[in-house]
Order: sequence, then C-alpha cells, then structure tokens
Amino acid sequence: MNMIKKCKRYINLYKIFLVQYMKTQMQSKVDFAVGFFSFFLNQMLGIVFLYLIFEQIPDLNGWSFYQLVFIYGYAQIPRGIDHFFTNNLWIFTRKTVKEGLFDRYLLRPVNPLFQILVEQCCPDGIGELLVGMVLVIYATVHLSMAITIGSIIWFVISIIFGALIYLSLKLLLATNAFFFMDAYQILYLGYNLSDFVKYPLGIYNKPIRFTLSYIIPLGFTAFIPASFFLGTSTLYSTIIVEIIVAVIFFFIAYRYFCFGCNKYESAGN
Amino acid sequence: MRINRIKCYTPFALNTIKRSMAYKGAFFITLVSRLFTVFVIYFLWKAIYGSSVNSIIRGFSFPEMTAYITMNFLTGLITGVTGSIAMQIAFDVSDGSISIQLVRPISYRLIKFSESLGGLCGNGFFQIIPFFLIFIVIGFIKVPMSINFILYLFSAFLGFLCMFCFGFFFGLFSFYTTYFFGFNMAMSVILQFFSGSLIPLTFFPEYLEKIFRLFPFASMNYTPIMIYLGKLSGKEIVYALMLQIVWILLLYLAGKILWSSAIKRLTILGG
Amino acid sequence: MSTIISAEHLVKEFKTNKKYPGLRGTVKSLFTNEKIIKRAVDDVSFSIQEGEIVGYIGSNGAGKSTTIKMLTGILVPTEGTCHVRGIEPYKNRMENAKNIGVVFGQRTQLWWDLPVIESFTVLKGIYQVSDHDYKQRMEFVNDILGIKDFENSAVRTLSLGQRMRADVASALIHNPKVLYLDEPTIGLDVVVKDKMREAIRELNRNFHTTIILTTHDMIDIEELCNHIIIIDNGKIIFDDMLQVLLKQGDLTDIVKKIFIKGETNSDENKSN
Repeated sequence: MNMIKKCKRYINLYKIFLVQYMKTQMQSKVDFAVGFFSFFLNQMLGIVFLYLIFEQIPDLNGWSFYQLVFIYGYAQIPRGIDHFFTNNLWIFTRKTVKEGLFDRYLLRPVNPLFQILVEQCCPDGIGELLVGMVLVIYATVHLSMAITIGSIIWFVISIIFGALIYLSLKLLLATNAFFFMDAYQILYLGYNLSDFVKYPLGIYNKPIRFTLSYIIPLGFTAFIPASFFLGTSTLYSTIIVEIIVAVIFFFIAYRYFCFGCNKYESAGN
Repeated sequence: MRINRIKCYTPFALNTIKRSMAYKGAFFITLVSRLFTVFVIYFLWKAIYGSSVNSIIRGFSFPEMTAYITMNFLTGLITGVTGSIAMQIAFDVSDGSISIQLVRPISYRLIKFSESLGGLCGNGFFQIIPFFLIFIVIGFIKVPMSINFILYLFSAFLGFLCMFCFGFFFGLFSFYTTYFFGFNMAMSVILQFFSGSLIPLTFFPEYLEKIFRLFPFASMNYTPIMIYLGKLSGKEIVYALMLQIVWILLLYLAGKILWSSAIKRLTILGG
Repeated sequence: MSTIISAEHLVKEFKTNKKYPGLRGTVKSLFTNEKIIKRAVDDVSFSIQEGEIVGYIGSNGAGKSTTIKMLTGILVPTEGTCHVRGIEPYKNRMENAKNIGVVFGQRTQLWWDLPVIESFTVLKGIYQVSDHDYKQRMEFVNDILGIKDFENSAVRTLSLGQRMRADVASALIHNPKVLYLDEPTIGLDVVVKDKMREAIRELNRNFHTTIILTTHDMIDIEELCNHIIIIDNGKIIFDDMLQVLLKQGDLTDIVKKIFIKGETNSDENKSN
C-alpha cells in the first residue's frame, strides 16, 4: 500500500513539475522549429550517405537500403525519448555538483534523482522521436512489412526499455561528477557510442559487437530490437533480452548514483 | 608600435593553449571519443567494399578510402578550431560582452584570430600530431614521403584561414537574429555535406561534383585531403590552391563589410 | 522546553589536493597526489532547545556552514553525532527534511525560470502541504514579507531583496519545526532587513519555530537571538545566553576581538 501511495505521489509531483517546465521551455516556437529543422537536416545526412552508397552496391552485408533506413530511424526513437526526459543529467555533469547546487536536492523530502530528472524537459527530444518515426514508417511502407497489434505493442515496449538503457547509461556516467567534479567528457564519450548502433552490428569486429551488446548495451536500443521487427531475429533473442538488460543496467546505475550521493561532500564555504 | 600591438594579442593565443592543457583527464577522453567516429565510418566502408563487386568505387580503393576518412578527420582538427568561432561570437552577443570588446582599442576580429591560432597550436601538439602517429601505426595512412605532404600542410593552413573567415562572417549574423543557434546547427550540416566530410564529392553526380568543388566549403576541407591523397594533378593543385586563396579574400572582405554594418546596428539598438 | 537539536563531539575533516605555486608548481601537481587534511569542525558539542532563536557566529571559514550542513543532513560527520528531533539527519535525510526549512543567503533554492508563485506551488506539492495550511502560510508570508508585489515575476528577474524574501517565504510553506537561516540579511537594505527580522520574530512567537541564524550582522543578533554559539577555527568558544555575552561588554567589540584572534590563528596555520 505504501509503495502505491509513494508512486502516486511522485506521479502527481511529476505532473506539477512538467506543467511548469513545459510553460517555460516552449516559450519560443520559432526556436523550436529552427532547432527541429536543423536536427532533421542532420539526420538526413545519414540517409543521404546511405542513398549514395546504395547507388554503388546492391546491398550492405545482406541488408537492403530500406532495412538500413529502418534501423537508422528506429535508433533515434529511444534516444529522443530519453533526451526529452533526462536532459538535466548533462547539466549535472558540469554544473550541479561543482557549484554546490546539489545541496538543494538533499534538503527536500523527495528522491534527489527524481528532482534532477524532473527539473528539465527538452523539447529537442520530441524532434528526434518524430524524425525517427518518419524514417521507420517510410521504411516500413517500402518494405511492405506486416503491422500487427502484437508488433505495435512490442514496438512500444522496446522503445521504452531502450530509453531506460539510455537513462541508465547517462546516470552511470554522470554520477562520476560526484567524484571528479566534471563528468561531461566521459558522458560525451559514452553517449556518442550511440553512433555505432545506427547500423547493423555485423559490420563491426567481435570486440566492438560484444562491447555494444553486453558492456555498454546500446546495441539493445537500436539494432537488436530493430532486427526483430525486420524479421531477422526472434523475439526472445532481442526484445526479451533487451528488457532484462535494461532492468539490470538501471539497477547498477542507480546503485552507483546512491553510492555517489553518500560520498558527496558539498562545496563548503 | 607594431610590435606592441601584436603583444596585445598574444595573451589570447596563450590563454587558449593554457586552457587546453588544464584538463589532463578531459584531454584523453576527448581524444578517444573523436576516434570513435572514425572507426564507425571505417567499418561502414569496410562493409561497403565487402559488398561491392568492384574494388574501386568512384575512384577510391578501400585503402584510399581509409586514408580519406583519416585525413578528413585530421584536416578537420586543423580547420575545425575555427568551427566554434561563429558560436563564440553568438555567445558574446547574447550575453552582451560584445559591447565591452568594442570599447577597447583592439580589433575583435584579431582577438578571435589569435584565439584560433592558439587553439591550432594547442590542438597541434595535443591532438593532431598524436592522432597522426596513431593512424600511421594502425595502418590507416602511410608515412608521408612525397612533396604532396608539404603541399597538404600548406593547403590545410589555407583551409584553416578559409574556415576562419567564413566562421567570422557567418558569426556576424548573430547580430541580426535571436535564432542564431538553430541556424548554426543547420550550417554545420551544410558544411559537412559540401566539404566532403560526409562522403567524397566524387560520389555525387559529376555535374554536382563540379559545382560543389567551387564552393568555399570544399576549399576548407576537400582540397587539402585530395592533395594529400595525390588525387590531383599538378595543374589541378595549382588551380585548387588559387581557389582557396580567392575564397579567403572574398570571405575576408565580406566579413569586413558585414562587420561595419553589424556594429552600426549594435550601437543604434544599444547592445 | 525540550532539546530539539543536539550535537555530540562533531568532527568534520576535508581532504584537499596540495597545490604548488607557479609554472613549476602546475607541472608538479600533474604528477603528485599529496593531500592536506583540514579539520573544519573540531569536536563541537551543543544543545538547542525548542523555540530558541540561536545566533551561530564565527568568522568566515570558522566552520559555521559545515556544522549547518551536518545538521541538515548534507554532510556526514567524520566523527561524532548530531540529532534533530531525535533523528540523525544524514541517516534519515528525507524524514528530517520534512520538518526543516533552509535558506542559504548566497544561493536561491527556487527555480530560476519559474514565477515565484509557481515555485511555491511546486514546493507545496513536494512538502505535501494541505490547501488550507498553504493558504494560511501565504497570508502570513504576504502580510510580513510582501511577496504579493512580485509573486508573478520569474526568480531570475528579482532584486536581491525580493529574492531573499521569496527564499525565506519558500522555506516556511510547510511550517518547519526548525529553520536554518544562513546569512539571511546580507546585502539587504534597511527596510527589507526590518521585514526579515519581523518575520523571524513572528514565526518564533506564533509557531514556536526553532531558528538557527548564522549572521555577521550584530543588530540581527541583538534583536533576535536569545542563545549564542560562537565557533572559531572549528571549536566552540562560547555557548550561552545572549545576556551572558553582553555582560562581557559591547557586542561588536567582543566579536571583533574573536574574529581578529581567529584570523591570526589561521595565518599561523597557513605559514606552517
């Protein structure tokens, strides 16, 4: 009963925060539009590259153009969802601990991680999500893939757990701000590994494939679940494993964060 | 008098170098994370050549393509120092510190240039040379033997100047619009596309390739890389270098003209 | 009157990297990892009764903020313990947080971009204040601190005086049993300072709130505090009622003497 009450409370709190922050973040619609347009262009670069390549080759390691577009688009979606909700972690890596702003979170009777995450929402994430969806739909149409209720449900599940993996990765790396004052570089490093998973993991050598699957499991946010929808892998070897990996990874990241909180020494005078 | 004025600008250059030295840990991480992008592209091309019937695609063999992406990366380090010029100007404008710069009797453009030179030196020691050696060791590029290398260095420096003039010119638009940051993002995309950073320009249809080569973006990046790879004949090299110089002059002038107009706007509107 | 806060032999040590001067020093510090240990709080014990207004005085670097941080649960003591309403703050941080209010003079606790009133709404949710209590609080806060005048402005647009008032108001929304005010009147003009003092007095009188006040302002101390604790170089050198201290002479003179002594002590430590 207590757990349910707690969850309800946090959900309510989140609603209050979100309303307030959406008000301030969405102030400039032009800003958002320009940013979205630029981001869209950026993603198109990747697609243009693939298009030009496929003028020269029949397929890439057995994958067709539209299959690659699907994977590429799919990769954006969990990334965008996570970007929307957890953008404040970037600020955490550089500012929050260094400038002693973390104290505030400890002085309130609410989970500090919740406070950090809830403080900012980033509309750019919506852009990423939309672009990803457009590419996925485009590819689905050209591949004449069958869309069932089941596959839609699994799709939603897989992007949610994919976002959870991103959140966990960011949390794990950002927690280092407790120990090194500045964790921006290392988060930047980890986060950019996501470039790798926009393409079939088969193109990489064994060590890289292993790292991206089991050490920094970004492979499970993009290529691996996408391969289920493309029909090249089974449900169990992709999405089910993704769920397990996401939960374990989050658990590890959260424990590390709690450890960091305990070790925290504020900036002092 | 002249020497005194140059002395004014050296602190800016030194400061940029000092700052790049200050974060030893961050250094290493930046190095490694930049390496990633090269590797992803490398594996992509490996797969592409593996799936291709011909071993030469659009004039590049696989070793040549590997060298291309490597040199693209390294040249990017050289010219890319100036890549943030536009953003810096935009920040100075948005937080108002641009006004203070104008009150001082030193040239804002020269300050930015000194900072860029300092960045280039800092980058040179701590990023460009180490990376260059790493890439030779892992075999992505061969040890440079021919005169092409000297020409490359010269052309890359011209590319640096070209990028600077462009960055400065483009950055001035932040005086005119509050949505500059979004536009800057779009511009970096355009830059990637037209400079051969995304893919060698030979992959575009021939008529497009010819047009793209004339743009300033190719002069910033594509030209030096192609010189290094030995893909340009003697005549073509001369022509390309001259084009680089032409663009430097054009962009410099454009920057000068826009500067006086931007300042007028600033002083009228009150910063 | 019961003891609401007690500190028992609190110690807090900080380790910092030793730094060397000059260019050679910068290079040296790239390779060495020597640390200096600083005892910011050195065997501090005191007890505070419910309903007291305590003036916690000390020169900068004497250990005031460090003690407060241990009492609020932000720092874990190296040695010793403290209890606030029977709870050890760093062990039961959230439980403790429900009943305390904290105002740091230098930094705001409010959200930079939100209008003041919206920040209050969020805090109402965080501390689970009922609508009725919230209304009461807002009335109290408006009466004395005059928040209504700027409640719709974003925090970042406020002047220092307005921001401080908003910060104090936000610390009161949930009617905390203990209120920590770290330099609440610093940089304020006379009118606002008066308002702050009135608010503190009323709070204590009407709600029996225990208030710990760290301040350099002697008038704050004379007008508000009944219990004085003086800390110097990490050690308590005075812990008694205000009247006892005043018997020693003029308050400003006494404090000056302590601070000067404190500075010479720390200078000696530096040259060691």
